[in-house]
Amino acid sequence: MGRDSQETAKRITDVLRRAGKHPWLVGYDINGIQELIAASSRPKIMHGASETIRKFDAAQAQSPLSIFAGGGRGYELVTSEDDAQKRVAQIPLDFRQATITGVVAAAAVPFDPKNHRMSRVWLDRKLDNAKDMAPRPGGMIPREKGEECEDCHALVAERNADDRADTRRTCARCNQFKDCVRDIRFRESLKEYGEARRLAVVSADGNNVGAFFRNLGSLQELAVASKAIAEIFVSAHLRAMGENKILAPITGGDDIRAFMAPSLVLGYVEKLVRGVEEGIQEKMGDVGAVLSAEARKSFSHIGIGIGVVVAGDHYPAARLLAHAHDLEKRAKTMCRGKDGVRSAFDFSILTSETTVGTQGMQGALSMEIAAWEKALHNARALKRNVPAAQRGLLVERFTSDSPEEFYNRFGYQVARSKKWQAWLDECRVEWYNPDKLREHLEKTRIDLIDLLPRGEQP
Amino acid sequence: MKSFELISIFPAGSVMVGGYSAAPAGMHGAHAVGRDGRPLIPATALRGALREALESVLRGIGQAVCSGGDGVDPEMSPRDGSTKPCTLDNGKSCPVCRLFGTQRATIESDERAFSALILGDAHLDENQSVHVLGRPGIAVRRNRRSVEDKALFVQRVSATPGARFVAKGLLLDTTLENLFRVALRATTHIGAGRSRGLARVNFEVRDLVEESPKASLGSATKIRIRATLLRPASIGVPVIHPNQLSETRREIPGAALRGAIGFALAAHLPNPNSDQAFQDLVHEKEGARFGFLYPVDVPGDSAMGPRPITAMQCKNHKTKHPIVDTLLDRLAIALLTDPQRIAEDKRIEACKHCKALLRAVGGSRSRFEDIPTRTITRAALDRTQSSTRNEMLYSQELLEAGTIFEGIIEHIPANSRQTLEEASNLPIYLGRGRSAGWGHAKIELLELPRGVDLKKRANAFHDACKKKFPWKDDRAKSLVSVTLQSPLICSDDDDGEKLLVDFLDAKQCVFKARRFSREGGWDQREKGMQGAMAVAAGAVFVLDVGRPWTEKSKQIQELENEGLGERRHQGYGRVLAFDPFHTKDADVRRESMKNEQEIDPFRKNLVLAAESVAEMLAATKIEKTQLNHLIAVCGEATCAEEIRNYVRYQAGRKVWPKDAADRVVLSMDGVLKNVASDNDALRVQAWRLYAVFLTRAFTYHRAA
Repeated sequence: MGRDSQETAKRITDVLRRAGKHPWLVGYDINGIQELIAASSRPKIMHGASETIRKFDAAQAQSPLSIFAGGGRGYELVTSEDDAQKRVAQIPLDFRQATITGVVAAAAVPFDPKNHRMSRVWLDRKLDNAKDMAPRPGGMIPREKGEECEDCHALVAERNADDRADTRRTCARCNQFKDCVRDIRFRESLKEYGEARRLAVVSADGNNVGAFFRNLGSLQELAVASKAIAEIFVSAHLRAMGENKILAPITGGDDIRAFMAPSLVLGYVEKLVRGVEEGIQEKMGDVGAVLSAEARKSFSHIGIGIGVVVAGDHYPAARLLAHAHDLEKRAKTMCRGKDGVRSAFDFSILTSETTVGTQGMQGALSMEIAAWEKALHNARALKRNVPAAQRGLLVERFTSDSPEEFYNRFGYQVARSKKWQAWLDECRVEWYNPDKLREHLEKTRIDLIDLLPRGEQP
Repeated sequence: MKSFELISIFPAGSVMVGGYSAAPAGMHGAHAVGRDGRPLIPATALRGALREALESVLRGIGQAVCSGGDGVDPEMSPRDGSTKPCTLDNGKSCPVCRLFGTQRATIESDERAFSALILGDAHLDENQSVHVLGRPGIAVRRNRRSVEDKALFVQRVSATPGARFVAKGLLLDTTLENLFRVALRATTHIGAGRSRGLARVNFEVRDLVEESPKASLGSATKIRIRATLLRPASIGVPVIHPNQLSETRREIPGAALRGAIGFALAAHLPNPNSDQAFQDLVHEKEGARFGFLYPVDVPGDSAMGPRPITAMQCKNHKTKHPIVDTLLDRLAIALLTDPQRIAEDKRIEACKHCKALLRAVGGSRSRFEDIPTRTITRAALDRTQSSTRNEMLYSQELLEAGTIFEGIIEHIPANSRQTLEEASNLPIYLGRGRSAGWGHAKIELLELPRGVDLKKRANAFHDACKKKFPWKDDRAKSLVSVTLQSPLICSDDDDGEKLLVDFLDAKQCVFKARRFSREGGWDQREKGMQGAMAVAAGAVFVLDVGRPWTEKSKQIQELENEGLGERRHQGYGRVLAFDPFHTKDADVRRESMKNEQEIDPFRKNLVLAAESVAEMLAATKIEKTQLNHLIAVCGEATCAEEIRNYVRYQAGRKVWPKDAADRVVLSMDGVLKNVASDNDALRVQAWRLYAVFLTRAFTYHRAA
């Protein structure tokens, strides 16, 4: 057994011993974590919100019988029903105090030391109910435009920011979040993380993590696995970020959100995926001894689903995050079923007139090494060989009423153009075979070209 | 008030108005096109060009006018980017602002609209078609007098020599007609490329005769209202980030509907302030209650409104596997204390078809497809320099034309019915951008759908409870479920529970699933912004009334009739007891899915049958609305004979050409001969699909 996991498992065994004869299991889960963090589009406030949540989790982890706390979610044992009810009442109050408006759901169930899993399933279901029974968000709603917070526009502005250079009137929540990261220097606006007025927003989430956690039985397994997953994702994210100018306000549990320049996306995504997949392999030795055979198997299948949206930097952060999250979920559909891949990536490049949505989009990209390299190679070859003005023809595949007519015309174009032929030859496609040509086009995401760094020589 | 058609004629070249339609890959910009792919001139571009020309003319003759409604006369004071309500004409708005509008939050009591001119998008004359071409351009570096590196751009434009674009408009204040005509004469170009001699335009105006009222409400105090968007619409969200993306709601709040009807009537009636029927209709306490309108796939569906919070869908097969309701499962978690039983209940989280996890699903219960939207990008112009203002690029999200919404108007005062009927035949504009023709909707006042009566709903709910819970007594009979059909605004220390418990004098609330949403609303007459934190639509409460529910049936009826909470005149606080969705809708959906699977082998034949008739139908004078009516009839019909009867009736009334009606019926007979004559559900399902295919094919052939 690895040292880290051994220590964690030992700590949980000790917690179980100290929990007494009639222990209760208490859990909490933050409501609308993403909305809270992206309520304002200012980097400092977003980071302050994120930091507030991290500190809240850390405070819950200090509870003497804590099992795990991180990513806005946590479990702990208490020694009696009374204590459980007190904790269920106290946790939301603490969170409200820390965030002014935030809502956290908390619930408790009697803990059966002989059947950890059953108690946890019961608690999770009670938490689902509790999320829809939690109190309303706090904060004062402005009665007129002039009262609005100049940062989040959602609450009443209360006072000028403490910062002398900052003369805006902001709400108590934004002020509190700013105070939380008072000594850290951030760029003033999200725009400064983009380039040429374009910004990329990444939403990433562990793949098969839910299935993995459902396979866990004991609280020892839960604690060891939660800690390991959080470490793997944070470390992969930090590695992918490197020294680049990237703002990443949420990195809790297996959730990652980041803002960056579009030219950094491909490098970040690839490093993140490899970091997670390699991290899982590396941790297997450490956590494997604590997990059951079934849990070990599903641990080894954990990957990551990534959604990226590239858009004008005038879009609100919350909207871009929501769209990136939709793309992430779309990417993850590629990982389901027996033939599903371990990690996948989907993206959307919004021009100012493109509708935000996933309808009519091409399929996500597999992040299996061979498939990913092939996709990049195809995109680079297309950029290298076919002039931009001609590439527009490929898009007509989606706008043409008759696919047959499109392929008829495209075949004709390929037949008379050496440039198209050169692209297809580089991709090793028998372009004179209509079926192969069609198959290749259906698999090619030509918009990948727009993610290739500008200076890159294709 | 005067209705007119504005015809824009482009004598030469091509027109390019960007920011409205997505540019295809390989292109760097594209001229605006509608949902049907045909080019159009957005109303914002038309109004912008007209306004700019009129400002120039008036400044030329020494009149004080502001620049784009910013309230500042650029001849008198330098621009500093600030804006204020225009008061340049002796304390009143300048003439240009009176015609085109200015930046202000409320209107005066003697005014009827923010802008006297309402002008919609200009659509290409339906008898014309244009070629699409790539217009190349190159950026030039002026200081070197050479071409910029890598600055070749190609715009997708429509070749428009001789093309005529027609926009419908309304002039609410006819004393400004001369100014409008001056603006038309002075405007010579629209869109990009004027320095290259492109975008030249001439205008013609044609007066229109207003239609007379048609709808009839009879003595109904509660009706169903259907709004079909004729133009894209922007329905404001409560929190707006300035200079960024302005989003749109996916439903139409009662306040927006009430405002639209109120504005239409205020402009139409000779003296709205003293018109008693109008004042009664919009009275805050005693007037009609304008409900929220929710999007629908099939008009006429009886299940209107938002889905309950307890609705869930399969994570892996969102569109294929049925939406289910989890209220009873969640009630079990709240009420049962046996962990073994809860842990073993797989129903709570798994799809019955594939065992995948369930995820919450919101939206409208009669809409299964995404609601189509488009994002347009606009730039504020500095008219003194005829160029775009710095940092003033902004995007707006719009609901697409063609989207259908349905809801309810209730408590209609008896003396106001005629007024409401009149309103339904006036041009109604929902949401923002009325002066640009946004939100123009066709309004239909219809009978209420036949809902399930309270007793049947209650029985179904209690039967389901009995199956779920091991109670031996009649405890289930004392449970009452209440579902919010629209957001609920109540006091800050309540989430609806207290209101409900008090109203029904209930013992306790045993379960609740609710979230909160920010609500906006804008009172343009007096109150300005009306922000509130509401309990979101779809919230579900289960109350124990402490005795058999039948003893409370009167109160429950009253609850459904009166609603709860504040701002009920704007549709807030509508409730439904024993919502059938919790017990039956999932089954209905499953049944419909079964039919969909059964119908699959016939789909191709249905398309071919529809295509075979559509071309001939398109050549007749029949209007497309007739096909929309056919879709609606198919949506409501319970047997195929009902639909056939309708088509023949329309032929008898000469609304449909007889030949066309016969061919429609014949072509369907050809398909239906392979469907058992007693399988009414499948035969109706076939007609529904056929009607949709026929409408699509008809639209194509009409356009071609």
